[in-house]
Amino acid sequence: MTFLRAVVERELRLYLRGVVDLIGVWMFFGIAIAMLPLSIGPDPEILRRIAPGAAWAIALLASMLSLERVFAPDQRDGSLDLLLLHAPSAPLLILAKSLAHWLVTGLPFVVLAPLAAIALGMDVQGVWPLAGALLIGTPALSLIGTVGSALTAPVRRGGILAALIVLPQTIPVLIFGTAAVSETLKGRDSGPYFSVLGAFTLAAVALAPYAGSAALRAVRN
Amino acid sequence: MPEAPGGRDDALVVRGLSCERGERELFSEVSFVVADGQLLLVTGPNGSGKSSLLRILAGLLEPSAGSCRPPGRGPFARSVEYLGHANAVKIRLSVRENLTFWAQLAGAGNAVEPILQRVGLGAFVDMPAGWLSAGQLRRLALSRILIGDARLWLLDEPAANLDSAGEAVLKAELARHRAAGGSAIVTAPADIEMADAERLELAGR
Repeated sequence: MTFLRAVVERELRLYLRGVVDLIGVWMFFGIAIAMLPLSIGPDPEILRRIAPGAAWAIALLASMLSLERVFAPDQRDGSLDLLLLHAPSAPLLILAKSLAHWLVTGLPFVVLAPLAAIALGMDVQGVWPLAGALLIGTPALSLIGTVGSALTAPVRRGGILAALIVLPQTIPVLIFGTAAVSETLKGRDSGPYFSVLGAFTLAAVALAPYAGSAALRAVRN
Repeated sequence: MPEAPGGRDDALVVRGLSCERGERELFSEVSFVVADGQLLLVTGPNGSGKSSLLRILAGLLEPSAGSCRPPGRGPFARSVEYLGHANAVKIRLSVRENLTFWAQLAGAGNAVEPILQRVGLGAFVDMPAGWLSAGQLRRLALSRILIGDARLWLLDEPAANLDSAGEAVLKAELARHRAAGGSAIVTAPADIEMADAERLELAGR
């Protein structure tokens, strides 16, 4: 626990010291959402129909933007050696990294969800479903993304490569996240979709740390 | 498997260690014992595998053959400290924040500031690490070794970038560590002066 807390605290401090990069990620989310209605046109019906999927796709892309920050700097300056040396277990390090990544690039989207819901014509009734689905689903994105980041840790400018590796793995989250929101908006029972979304996140919590540490071992040896 | 010589007090027993990197054999069948209080100086030309040897002992690299006991991973890992070529310093954090983090990980509860005084960074405690010179960064990296209570130090060219005062600090800290029963394996260029150290020469090929 000491290890987990120490690493998460350090990660957050480092993220906030380079907050300009983070603001870029948050602004990407905000601006992409604001642009969508302009490009789709003024018909609110069309907008409302695509809004849940659009919000999820934009959240997914935004959370991939900062993958390069997760492991590459630590690999470059030698910190990763010592983190692995001191970690009670390597999966715990992956978990700590994912948690920190989610706190700065998952949680903010949940906070911005009301804005997104209204900007995309989902109205007030879309706020809670969207925020809820993002809250349940985005941790899976950070966990899967961290595995991609581990795989590309020694690669120069590996962020794009990490995103390319990771994006296909996130499709289930995207599909069920979108369905959870749109089924709620249609007034149908969306409980199963939220449950499956939660199951993805739980599975990611259980598996991604091991996948990530195996990836680190493979690419660093 | 042959029984390793030496009693329980041996900090490290290495048997028949070999290392290959990219099809090329760096060294093979390296064996040695490092007892408590001992300093092993690893010398050899560039590319002879000095750094790889330390990384294997730290559990960061798999050997192609051989074993070391206790291995770098596992419960013993907490009593190993490793100083590589890279200083593992975050330039966006202050000197204090850098060291405090590693102190938390080492879990030894030693105070940060006295250690920084000892390596000569007492005046820079709250300065961003990005403002330090190359030699001062190395001193900060050295302070990370001192903050824990590790029994075995693995130091890869620890004197790199250090001035003569810094080297004196390094030697004094090594002596203090050994007096307290700790042991160290240090890689260095061939003809460095180090009192009463065992030597291991990697030939290179």
